[in-house]
Formats: sequence, structure tokens, C-alpha cells
Amino acid sequence: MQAKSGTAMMLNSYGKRFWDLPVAVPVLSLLLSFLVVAVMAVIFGVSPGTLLGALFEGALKGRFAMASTVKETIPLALASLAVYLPYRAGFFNIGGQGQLQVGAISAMVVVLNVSGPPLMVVTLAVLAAMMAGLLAVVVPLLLKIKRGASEVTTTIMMNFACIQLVNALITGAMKDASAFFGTTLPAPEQYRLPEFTLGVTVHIGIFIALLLVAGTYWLTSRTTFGVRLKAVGSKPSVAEASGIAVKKMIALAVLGGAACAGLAGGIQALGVVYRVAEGWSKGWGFTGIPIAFLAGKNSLAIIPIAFMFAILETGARYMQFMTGVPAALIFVFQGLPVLVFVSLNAWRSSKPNKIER
Amino acid sequence: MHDIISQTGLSKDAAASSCAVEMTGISKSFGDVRALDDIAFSLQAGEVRALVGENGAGKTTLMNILYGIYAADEGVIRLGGREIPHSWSPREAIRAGIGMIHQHFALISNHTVLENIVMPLLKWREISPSWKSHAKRVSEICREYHFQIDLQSRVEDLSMGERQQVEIVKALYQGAKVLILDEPTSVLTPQQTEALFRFLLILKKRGHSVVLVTHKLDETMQISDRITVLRGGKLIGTIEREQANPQIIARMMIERDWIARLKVAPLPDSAAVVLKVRNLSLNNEQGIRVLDDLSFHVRAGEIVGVAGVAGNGQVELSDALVGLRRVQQGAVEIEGINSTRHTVLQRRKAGLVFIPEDRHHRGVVLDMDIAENIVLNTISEKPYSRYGVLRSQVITDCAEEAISAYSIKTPGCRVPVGNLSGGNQQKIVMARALLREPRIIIACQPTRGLDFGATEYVRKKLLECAQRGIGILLISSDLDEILELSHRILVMFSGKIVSDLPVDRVNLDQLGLLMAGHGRNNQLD
Repeated sequence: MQAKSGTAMMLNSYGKRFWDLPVAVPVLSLLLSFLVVAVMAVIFGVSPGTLLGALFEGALKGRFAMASTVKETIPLALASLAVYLPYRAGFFNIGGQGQLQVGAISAMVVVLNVSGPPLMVVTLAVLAAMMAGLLAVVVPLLLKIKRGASEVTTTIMMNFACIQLVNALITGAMKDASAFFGTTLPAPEQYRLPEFTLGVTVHIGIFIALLLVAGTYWLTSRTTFGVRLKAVGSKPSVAEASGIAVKKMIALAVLGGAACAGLAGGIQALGVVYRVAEGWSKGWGFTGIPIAFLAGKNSLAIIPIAFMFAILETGARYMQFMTGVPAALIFVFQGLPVLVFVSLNAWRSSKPNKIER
Repeated sequence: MHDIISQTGLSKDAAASSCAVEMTGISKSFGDVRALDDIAFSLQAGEVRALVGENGAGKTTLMNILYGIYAADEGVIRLGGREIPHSWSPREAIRAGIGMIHQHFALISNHTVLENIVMPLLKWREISPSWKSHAKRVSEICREYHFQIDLQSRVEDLSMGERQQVEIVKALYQGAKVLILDEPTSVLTPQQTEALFRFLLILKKRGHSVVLVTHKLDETMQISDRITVLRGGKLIGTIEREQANPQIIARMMIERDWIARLKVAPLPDSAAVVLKVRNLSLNNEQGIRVLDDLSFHVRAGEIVGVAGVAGNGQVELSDALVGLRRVQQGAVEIEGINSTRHTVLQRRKAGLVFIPEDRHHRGVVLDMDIAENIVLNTISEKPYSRYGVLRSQVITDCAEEAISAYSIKTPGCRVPVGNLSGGNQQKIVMARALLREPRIIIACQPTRGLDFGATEYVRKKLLECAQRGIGILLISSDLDEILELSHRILVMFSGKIVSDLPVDRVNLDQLGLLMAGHGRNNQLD
């Protein structure tokens, strides 16, 4: 009897605290960060309301603004999968930006050199982008699983290699001879990602992104792969003793993630910019890192969080124009939620959460 | 024998005032476990003292208290007659002339010997230390005590024996008068051990006191002046070397009232061999042979206990049997099939399961919930998943069943395992191992760190398994457990099986001697 009531009491105390809700920390992180932005707005002599108003107006008001925010969400969501998936296996992929860049240039190589039915060429280009992203992570991956080298260092280094390789190609071998700056030729009209209008006009890459995020959610929460991946990510030594092929799991997650980053580049090249030029890319690969962290255990959260970050990207210019507060302030804001998030999580895990015997 | 102990134990108290170290009434608890209970320990200048006992006897804890790593719950420590302050810490212990050399050396491997020795003494404001004068003084110490180490070589290039010398010189350079060595010979070759003992005798001649924390009887007898024995956190006694012999010490270390409360059922002679190990040898990463030509077998329904002090190859043996380490030589047969090259998964499918020594390292994923942990091994098999898709309901039902069958205390099966107590975590490890009726269980320290109730539960469960015809290899450094559960007892010492006897022919004195590496059983199978 006593034991029973004890159990019931534990049930009540467990899972009811605000801290145990999965959304608590990310939401609080975003709110606290907004608070910091508000304070900075005051420092710049603007009322916080005006500043945030301008930010959201610039990102969401009008079809054109809305469309560019949605389009911005796509590479951000895919790039954050490139961090999310490997991180589930305990691999911190910071090479997303490099993987994205080689993905984009590979897609361009295909559309500029292959001719055929558009569906075939575009599919081939997208696959090439994924393959390139995947290849860009092979060296760090092998170094990690064969020699235990820190993937943080090696993937960062691969960023430099990949980004400069792309720069070399667009100012050299693949340069559009008629341009004054380094750029590839534009992608032929028929090989661009088809667009459709549903309130706003966006390219079909949005379906790919939504599908992959949903697929990742399904994979991590509903399949044996997900359970094994979780075991590998949280305690590889236990996973090994349970008969799980730890290195194989890490490799699959990392290659899958890097393919998503390559895909982000390919989709952005074929769906939005149509050519890869000097400075064509924003730091999607890097912004994917905070998005993946804020999403935490639930990959579906990637979509709203990526949209949130897209608002910051597209609204920043308008905000600068309207209020005179530099757009750079917004990029300060991009880093803040993660710092708050990490601090809150560290603080939370320092609190005892034991069920008493 | 008890008379000898009590007499000699008390006779030294008269000389307490001249003691370099005097500890009285020391008690220390970790959670519910009383690690030390009213211990008195005193040490005179210029003596070599051995502190012996089984695993968990409290030897290292006692020395860690003296060195300031732990604070005692009760008791008084006096150094040279003066009580130590409340804020006792290793830093102050070093300043008071106490040096401790842990089993795992505290050296920075890519620094030079000189840098390692001098570093603890450097102040942060010394931007450019006078290395030359330091080097001169360190070489003086080396000459005085006959250490032969090159101050300019890097620690990573040194042998374990040389690293230990560096540690000793480091302690001396900091002014240590009392030197505590925790299991100093466990990493050394016999030659290095001999060299170490020569240094210790020189130290003794110069008036230093040395405490050797050890479980090896031979070396204890070789160099110590007096021997203090702890058992289960209690002081058993201190005896002079002249009055001691290995039998007496072994007796003091392990003597106990041995009443088998859970008696194992006798084994029919016809029981089939389920696990056979032939000439198994394994080298560790440093190339040192940690398993040396092991051969034994386990029959269906038999519990074979592997006794021995931790660190004599037990972890390597279980890893090799489960498939976590590749062996250099020999074969492992599971029910007659050679599985030496099989993976962990293949071996489990053949019926070999594992209860690991360290729950958190090999047993449970603390971030994952109970249900996931219970089916972790079998997740890819029916009925827990189909075509790689989880069947949540089946898994939940299976977990609920295990929770009631093993009376795991939890609000539900979707609670992270990290929220459970150690005993309940161990039940999850057991539940997982027994989910599919296994043929062989490799159980390593299955009750370590568990409270009394959980311990009894796990032991009963193992006996039940044996009665159902499962063969069990029980690796444990808890002698009671081994004696209580096993049909047959193997003793491991430094990677070898030094004895293999049925439990009714085991003699406690002899067991203690064998575990401490003294002598070898001639009646090996």
C-alpha cells in the first residue's frame, strides 16, 4: 500500500515540472534572446517594439518578403539536418557550409554539362549535390572512426578546403567568361527547380526539405535505427556491448547528414540563385548549427526554428533601413539563443532529478 | 592468532608521541556504505608499512583521507603530534610533508621529467623559472637516493617503472617525509618491482616513512616492517613482520563466517559443456600480456566463480568472452561452436549474454528510457520491430512485464534509466540479459555497489538461472559471493588461472594465498 502511494507520488512529481517539458528550454532561450535584443534596441535609441515590428514586417509583410523568407527556410532546415543527424550519433559536424558549397557547385556542373529531359537532369543534379556533400565529409569521418581524431577540428578544416575549391572553380575552370567577377554560367531555364504558387511563390525544394525533416523525425523516433543511433550517440561503450555496430551507425548518420548539406547547396543553386558566384552563399551551413541545437530531441522543431531564423535573415535589411539599427545586430541575435540554451541546459542538468528509492 | 594481532596492535600506542602520522577514530561513509569504521593508524618515522586488504577494505580511502582528498566524517589526524586543520587538502598535505603516488600517475606525458618534477612548486608569477638551479637540486636528490632518470627526456618515452621514479622524485622534491604508494607494483615488471623496493629501502634509511597500499602478500613480506590489515572498513590489526607469515595475513584479510545461505544445487555429471575456453591469451594496448593461456569450461546449470583481486585480468577475460576484444591466441567455444571470431551480436544470438562489471560503462544508457534499455539488444528482432519499424506497444508491454517481474521501482517504463537507483538499473541489465533465454551468462561483479536487498535479489536470480540449466561464469572480487554461489572456483592472478577447484575442496586460507599471488595450486585440471 505504502509502496503504491509512493509510486503515485513519484509519478506526480515526475514530468510535471516545467523544466521537463521538451519545449521549455528552446522557447525560453528565444524569449530571453528577444529580451536582449530589446535592451540593445534601447541602447541604439529605438523603442524595442518599433525594432521588432520592423524586423517582422520586413520578413513577412507582402508576398515577395514572405516568399523570400520561406525560400530562406529551406536551406536552413536542410543545413540543420546536417548537424542534427550526425549529432544524434555523437558526431559534431561543423562542415555544413563546405558541404553545402560543394553540393551547389556539383549541381551546377551537372546542369551546365548534361542535357536531356529536365526531370532527369534536375534529379541527377540533386543527387550529385548530395553525393558531393557526402564526399566532403568522408575524410573527417574516416579520421574519426579509424583514428579517433576530433571531428570538430577536421570538419572545420574541410570547410576551408571546400569553400576555396568552389572559389577556385568559379574564378577559373567554370568561370563565365563574360562576367566581371567569378561566377558560373547561369543554370539553363529548363533545368531550374520548378516553382509553384500557393499564396506565395516558392520552388519545390520546400517539399524536399519538409519531407526530409519529417523523415528524420520518423527515423529517429519510430525505427530500430533511431533507437540504435540514440544508444550510439549517448553511450557508445554500452551500444558496443549491446552488439550494435557503433562505427557503422556513426558513418550512416554522418553521411546522411552531409548529404543533406550538399542537397541544401544544390537546391539553393537550382531553385533561388541559379548560379554560383563569389559571395553567393550566406552562412546557412553555420546557421544550421544553432537551429539543430535549439530543436533538441525533436527534429520536427527544425521547421519552426529554421523559419524563425529565416525571418531574422530576411527582415534584418528592412529593419536597418527603417530604424537605422545596424543589421549586424540581428546576427548577434542569431548566436544568443544558443548561448542561453546551453546555459539553461547546463543549469537544468546540474539539478538532481533522482527518483528516491 | 587473534592474540598476536591484538597484542602487537596495541603495543605501539605507547610510542604515539613519536609518530610521524597518527590517525585515530577515523570513520567515513559514502551514502549508505560505511567505508571506514573507527580506524586507528599510526606511522613512525623511518618505517615501511604495508596496508593490506581485499578490494573495498578501505585501504585507499584511508590514505586518501590522510592525503586530504576526502574529509573523514569522524576522527582525528595528528602529524608530528599536531592536529591537522579542518581545511585539510592535498595541497596542505604536501606542504606538511605527505606525498601520495596514486595507481594512475599524475604526470603530464608530453612534458619533460624536470618540468613534471618542478611544476607543482612553481608560482604563477614565475614567468621564467630558473630551470638550471631546479635541475641541479633535482639531480642532487636523484644522486642521493640513487635514482637514475634523465631529467630532459619526455615522460611519454619512459617505462612505467621510470615514471614511478619520477613520481617519487617529484614527491621528494616537494619535501615529502611520508610517502604513500597505492598499489605501486601493479604496473611494474618483477625487475622494476625489485628496483622500486631498493629505492624504498634507501628512503627508509634516510628517515622517510613509506606506506605501501597493496594486496600482494609476497612483496608485503619482502620489505615492510609492519603490516596493517583492513577488512570491510574495519581495522583487523597491525603485526610485526617477524611475527607474520603469508598464512596469518591471508587469514586476517579474508577470514569470515562462511555460511552459505543460498546453497547451490549439486550438478549432475552429465551436464553438457556450454562454454569452453582453450588457451586464451590476450595482450593489451601496451603489448602487455593480460590474459595468459587460460583454459576452462562451464557446463549447463553450473556456476563457475572467478575469484581474484580486481585488475588481474578479469575485465579483459569478460571482454574477450563477450566479443568486445580480439584475442591473440586460443579459442572460445559456445555450445561446441567455435566463436572466437564472432561479434558481440553473433555470440548473443548463440546464447551468450553479458552482465557487465560497470553498469554505466557497458550496461545501461542513462539518457534512454527503461523500455528502450530493456530491448536494446533485441530491438532489431521480432516481435519488437518489423522491417526496422518499432512496435511501441510490444516494447512497452515487454517493459511493463519486466518491471513487475523484477519489481523495478519506477513511475513508468518511459522514464530515463538515469533517474533510477543503482539496484534498479542492475535489474534492467538482468532483465535485458534474460529477455531471450540465454545459454551462458557472463556475470561480472553483478552486485557491486548494490544495497543488501538488491544484492540478494541478483544472487537469487542467478541461482534460478543455473537451476534452469543456464551456465554462468561469475566474475567477482567479492569472495562471499563466489563462495555462496559457485559450483567451482577459479582463481585469477596476474592474467593466469592459478587454481581450479570444486567449491567443496576449496580451503579459505589457500584461497586467500592464491588471490594474493602466493603459491600456486598443484591440482589444476
